[in-house]
Amino acid sequence: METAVLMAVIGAGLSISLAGAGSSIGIGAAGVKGAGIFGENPNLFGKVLLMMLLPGSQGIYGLLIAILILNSMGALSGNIEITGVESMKYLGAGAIMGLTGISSAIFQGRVAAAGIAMLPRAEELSGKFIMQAVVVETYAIFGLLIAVLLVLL
Amino acid sequence: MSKVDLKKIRVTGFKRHYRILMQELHQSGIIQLSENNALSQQSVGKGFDEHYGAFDTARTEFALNFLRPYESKTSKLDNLLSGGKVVLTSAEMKERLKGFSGEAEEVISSCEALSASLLKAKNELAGLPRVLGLVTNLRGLRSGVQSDFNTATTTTWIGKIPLLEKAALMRALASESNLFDLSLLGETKLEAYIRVTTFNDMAGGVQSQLHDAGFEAIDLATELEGFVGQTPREIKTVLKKQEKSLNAEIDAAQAEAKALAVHVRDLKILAEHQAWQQTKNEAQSMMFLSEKTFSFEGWIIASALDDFKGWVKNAFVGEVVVECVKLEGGEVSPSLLSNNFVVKSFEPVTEMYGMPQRGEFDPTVWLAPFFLIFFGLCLSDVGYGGILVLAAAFFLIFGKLSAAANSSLRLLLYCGLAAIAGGVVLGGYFGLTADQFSVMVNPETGKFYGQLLTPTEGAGPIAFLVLSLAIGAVHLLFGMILAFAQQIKNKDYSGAFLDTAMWVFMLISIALYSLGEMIGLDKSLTANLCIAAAVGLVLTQGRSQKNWFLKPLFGVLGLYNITAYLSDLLSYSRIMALGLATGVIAFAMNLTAEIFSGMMPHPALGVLVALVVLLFGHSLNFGLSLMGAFIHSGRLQFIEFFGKFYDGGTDKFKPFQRRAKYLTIES
Repeated sequence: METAVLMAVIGAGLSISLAGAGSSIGIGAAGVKGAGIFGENPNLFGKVLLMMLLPGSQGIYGLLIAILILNSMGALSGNIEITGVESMKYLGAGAIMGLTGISSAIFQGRVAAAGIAMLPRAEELSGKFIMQAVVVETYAIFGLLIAVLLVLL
Repeated sequence: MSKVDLKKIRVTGFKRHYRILMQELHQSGIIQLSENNALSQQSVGKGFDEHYGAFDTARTEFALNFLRPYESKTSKLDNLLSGGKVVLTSAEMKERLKGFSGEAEEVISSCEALSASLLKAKNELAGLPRVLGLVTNLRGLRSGVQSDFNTATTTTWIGKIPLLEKAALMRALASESNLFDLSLLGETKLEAYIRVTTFNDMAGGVQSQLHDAGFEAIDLATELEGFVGQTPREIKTVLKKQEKSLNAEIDAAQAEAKALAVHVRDLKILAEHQAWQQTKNEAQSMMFLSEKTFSFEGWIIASALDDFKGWVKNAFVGEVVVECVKLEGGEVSPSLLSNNFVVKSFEPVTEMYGMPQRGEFDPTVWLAPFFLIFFGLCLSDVGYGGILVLAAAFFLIFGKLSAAANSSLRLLLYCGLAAIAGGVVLGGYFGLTADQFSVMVNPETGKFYGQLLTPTEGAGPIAFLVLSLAIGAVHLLFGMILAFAQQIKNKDYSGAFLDTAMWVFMLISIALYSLGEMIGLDKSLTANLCIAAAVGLVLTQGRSQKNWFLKPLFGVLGLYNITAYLSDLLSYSRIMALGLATGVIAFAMNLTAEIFSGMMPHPALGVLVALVVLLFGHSLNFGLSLMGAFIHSGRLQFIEFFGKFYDGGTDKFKPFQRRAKYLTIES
């Protein structure tokens, strides 16, 4: 039982910490670029902020999986009940979400930063820059999907 | 529900009619002037100065920007409701322009004067602390400031050395001779301000000692220019007095600016008016001008053409001529979308991707329902949707915003309604569970009224996933049907029947093969359908190859495209992921609030803490879910849906019209 709980908690931890780290790195990369851009042109602040926040969703997905794991194992209601097989599933789900989250958030941050850098020259293209960055997120969403199915089924 | 037809016209006429014509065009905004270099470069006649008015506009805007910080704050709500703009009718505008015309010059030039004197006073004030500091450090200079401290026989240095070097310098100087005088004028934490005097013939030695000690000379004659003959103490008094008077000067100027700020409204009206004039004058750079005539080209909304022609004929009795121009090869008309009241709100989604090209129809009306469904399932919370609806409705009812802003607000309103619907289907009420919010729960089923599935329990997740993919399949097939229709319309029959229709056949066959048993279809029949579709594709997909040997090879390779359709379909699983995320995170916020408030020693404190956590948590979740729902609903249109039939990418119709930077003109 203790081992099973440990594995499930590690799963939840991997999910939120890896995906969260990815989001921080991604937002950080985009934010550094963004500060330089809206410093020169404060009108761009809204658009810069929006693009900067794009890599933030992976952290949310990581949080979602972590909460689902904690909820399914009963940690939120206080009476923990978990079998060995379940704990394996939770560990797997957390690892999947963490890994897809961290990689896609970091690279999404780079694409967002590149888009932000172009904003002063092509403000009207901001929608397209956003879409370009959103394509990278697809793989985190697939990871999320598989992780959700693993936890809930 | 379609694109607006645009026609290219050339307008030629006598210059004396120019102003009235441009006034009318500028006001109605039905034409986009287009540059025709071949025409404008032949201009021989002089127009009005192109930059005429640019200076006036710049001055007015300067005064406006100068006065804005001094404006008495209107209520924040008023500002929000009007978008920070002045709302008035054109009659009122005319009246204000007239009323203000007498004062305008005086207001603007006093703004310029005030700005200059404020700048000067602030600069002087900023320079004072440095001089004051210097004077304080030289407080030992009892003799007062002299223009030259040297005499016929002696040399004097005044300056500073690092405090640590002071003792060493004294020793070094003393070891050389005692015919010098070193007096300490003042000290800071790090530096000593000193005066050193010696006889001329010893100056060289002393100077090198000073240099070794890191001495930095201060040129009092320039640093304290204008204070010669006064002691540091006297100078300090003068400076303090100066500081006081500068501060008073700044206060007075600011008070004056505050008084002038009542004119901000008038200045906005004037600035807008002047900018309109300027645009009209600048339009000449795109025209051919001769001694007495002008001629320009532009795109006009086709339905407005006849009225415009009629108006020109009446107003200028044949002295201005409007003719239609044939498009040159490769010339592309700009695009303008025109949809009914509801669909219009979705135009920004299409415009974000790109305006339709020639031969493409406006996809806005087709994407609108899917956008709403996706958005509703992604945000999927009655509470969040309700907030959107209330906020949008509030601004729509009480706000006085531009038509474009109102259109966006309506989009928000529709999206909010969709989110409410999505919340009902998925049982999302601020993330509350059935036992936390039993008022809305149907006692028979134990679920919320109207709730179709519970995405976190039992078969719920799979049901939600299947629902997302099913909607996606409909979306994709619909996109292919649109592609088919477009190919037929553009007479690309082989593309329509051999590509699009063949793939639709293939995809439906596969769907029937995998799901057909549920509706009682024989598996062998559907398998044969699949084989037939595959054979059809192998036969047709290689048809562009010339080499007969390569044709079947490319046909088989064409089948590989099935993976592209599969990945398109899987992409719709994001609807489930985002929908689930909203509900689960809202649930987690509620739980956090409950846990935190339970830890508080006093129930009242617990309620307070719970409120703070709930407010913060739900704002965060609301904001992020809203952003995700918008962006991903858009993405599914742009990449999965538009990928089937829509390229877009022509320029948007940019009418020659009045800008609305400061004003909203009510009709």
